[in-house]
Amino acid sequence: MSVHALAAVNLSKHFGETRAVQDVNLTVDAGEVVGFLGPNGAGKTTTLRLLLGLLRPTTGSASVLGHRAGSREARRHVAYVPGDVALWPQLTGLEVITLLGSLHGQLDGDYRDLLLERFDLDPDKRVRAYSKGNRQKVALISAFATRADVLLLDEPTAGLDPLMERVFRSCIVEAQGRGQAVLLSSHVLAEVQHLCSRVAMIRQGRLVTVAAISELRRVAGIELDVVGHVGDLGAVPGVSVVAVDGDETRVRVTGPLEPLLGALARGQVTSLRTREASLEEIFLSFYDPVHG
Amino acid sequence: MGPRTALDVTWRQVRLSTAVMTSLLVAMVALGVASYDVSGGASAMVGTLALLRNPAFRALYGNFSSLSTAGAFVLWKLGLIVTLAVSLWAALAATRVTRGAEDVGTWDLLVSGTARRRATLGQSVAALAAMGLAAGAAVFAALALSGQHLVDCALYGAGIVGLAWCAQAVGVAASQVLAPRRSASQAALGVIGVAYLARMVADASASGAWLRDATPFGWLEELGAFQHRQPLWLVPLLVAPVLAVAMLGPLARRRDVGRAQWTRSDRAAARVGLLRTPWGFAWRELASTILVWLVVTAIVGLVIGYLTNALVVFSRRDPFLDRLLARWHLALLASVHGYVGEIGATLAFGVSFFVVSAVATVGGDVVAGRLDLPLGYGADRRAWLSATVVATAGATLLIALTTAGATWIGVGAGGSSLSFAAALGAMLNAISVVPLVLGATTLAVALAPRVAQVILAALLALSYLTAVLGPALHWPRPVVAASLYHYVRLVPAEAPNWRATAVFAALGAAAFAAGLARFRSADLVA
Repeated sequence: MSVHALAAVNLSKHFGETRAVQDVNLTVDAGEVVGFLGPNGAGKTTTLRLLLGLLRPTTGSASVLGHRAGSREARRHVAYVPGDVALWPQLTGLEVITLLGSLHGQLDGDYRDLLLERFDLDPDKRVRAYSKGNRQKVALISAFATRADVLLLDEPTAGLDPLMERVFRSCIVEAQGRGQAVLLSSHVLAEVQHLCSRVAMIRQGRLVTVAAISELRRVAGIELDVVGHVGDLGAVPGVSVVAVDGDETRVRVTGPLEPLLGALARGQVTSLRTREASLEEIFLSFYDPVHG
Repeated sequence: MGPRTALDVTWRQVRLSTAVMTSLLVAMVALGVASYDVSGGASAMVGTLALLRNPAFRALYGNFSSLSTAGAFVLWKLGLIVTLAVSLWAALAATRVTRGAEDVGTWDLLVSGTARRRATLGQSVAALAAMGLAAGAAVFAALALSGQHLVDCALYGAGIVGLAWCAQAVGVAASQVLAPRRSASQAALGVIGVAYLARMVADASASGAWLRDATPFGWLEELGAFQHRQPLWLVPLLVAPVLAVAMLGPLARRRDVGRAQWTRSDRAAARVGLLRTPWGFAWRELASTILVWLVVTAIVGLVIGYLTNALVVFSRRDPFLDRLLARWHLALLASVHGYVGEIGATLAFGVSFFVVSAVATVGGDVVAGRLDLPLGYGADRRAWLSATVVATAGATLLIALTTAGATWIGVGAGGSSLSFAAALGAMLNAISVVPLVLGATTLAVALAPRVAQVILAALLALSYLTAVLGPALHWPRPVVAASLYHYVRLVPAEAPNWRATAVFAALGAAAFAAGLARFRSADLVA
């Protein structure tokens, strides 16, 4: 059995009475990009800091390529981008990238130069003169240029403009192509939907689901806007009526479509539109009782 | 942002250090009064006139005409440490709450709401002013409680308020002109150092007396508390800082938030030579602080060394002083070697503060979240902390060498004879305390990174006071023995205390190991 790039097993972290993370089980494999979603304060950053070894688990364990998180062996394989990049203000961008690359043990100089160009970063500026977005770029370039086996990214595009977000996405795709494992904590759901094969959702410290986006969509069902006289669709198994406006009915279907198609065939349908649930709708269905 | 947000934020930043400083001031004054009583009180001070006129003593202790009251004695004996402690503390607090707040972005929040920039600066200054008031009130209360004349107590207390405000005005001015905080702090400390030297020169020579009226230290002296009261000198002490800060208002308005008038270029060619390992990085981070310490200790070594001849010759010729020194357990001061040994003992205290502030930078980095990235890229926690400790230890060796060289040159220039080996021995003996302070600071940073520096600085100050005053005050032996500095001998007049050196090394190593173990396993929470 191959070793997971990242693994959290019954991982818990308590701060006094506060249970910041509780029994989290999660794996990320080489070449996989996993989205990590949850509302503010749900435990995403704490989980990432546990995986880095910056925090020690209360119970459970975290590992990187089979090595205990935080151990010398584990650290050698990880690169990290925090949500709030704090750096030494007097260093220049290039000095920070060099320092982090040296600490990591490897830095692809050619790729670093390419990334500097793609992210349009002036490396000779001191950190204190960088905007938040540019400090984020320093951290991103450092992370990608190390070509670390595991990338832990905590809100990595916060502060980036849409052009740079595109660059970031292309870098993630390249990293995935090279077999790097990525755990991507993000509030930009379009980004997660675009990049990730699986998502893990956390709420109040507990994982509520870990699944492929396609699986989440299947569970969430599809929505159909039906125009015409079709009778009471709410009575059809697996179908719930979301809204009715005149002869237009919006329904959500979970499970097989056959019963609904049978009911529609018996009515008079003049128009039919189908739509898969977006990740945002799935996210809201987990966290927002109004949409759930 | 509420109307008093900046005031609240600033006061929260400084209240702990204010509590520590006011407590220390009260303790120092109380100990000074007790020391006066033990020395024999007013009757024992009758013969001090010649001593007070000696230029070297005046340079060190100030311009006094009589020590006929405990208040005068306290100001004479402890004036140097009280005025330097208050002014350095006040200036550093000022750069912290103004330039430091701008460096970390707190000011962006404060001035982005309805609050105007001038009002925000005004509220920060108001909180600083409260610190000065607290220091002055502490000194007043401690002197008054010891039964001194209330008018003199109030005069000196107000003088301390003015001195603190002047130092804060220097700090605020440096913060408007220079960035980042470290540069502003170093400039402010440099101005205060020069002002103090000017006071020393003014008191030591008739031709330079005018310098006294050019510095806040001189104004405080001119106040004449417990001497020849001249309360009008309160005017420059209290008005000058107010005017200075008022003039800084337009300067603050004209510049961008987060930037200073003279900011080093925002661009620089990368210097990556020391960025390959935590060890190199630690040297690079501490380099400018080390340089400042080397310059300061070199100047102090030269000046104090130069005064050696005058002090020692005078001490030998004056039987009264001889008896007084013996009563204070300072008989060795009447020789060049004893005097140089005393310089070394003082360096032991100073270098301890350097060690605490240098190692505590790691705690500051933890609190600011700056360690997240290096540790997230594979840096070893223990190596990171060890690197700073090793760089600090190396720096203390450099400081000892520099002070030895400067003192040796100063003593020679002043007309006394001292071998370089003797000067070097004195300063190397001074750093015998370094292993223990390094270990204790490592442990404190690992346990409580946020407050390690303040707590250790307060403990060191108490420890030093205990060593200096405890024996003269006949304190219980275990109390005096608890002081780190009690074990620092006056090398080369005395033999080094090898046993204590070994114990310091062993205790320091144990604390260092415990600190590393704790730092390795601790949760790093910004």
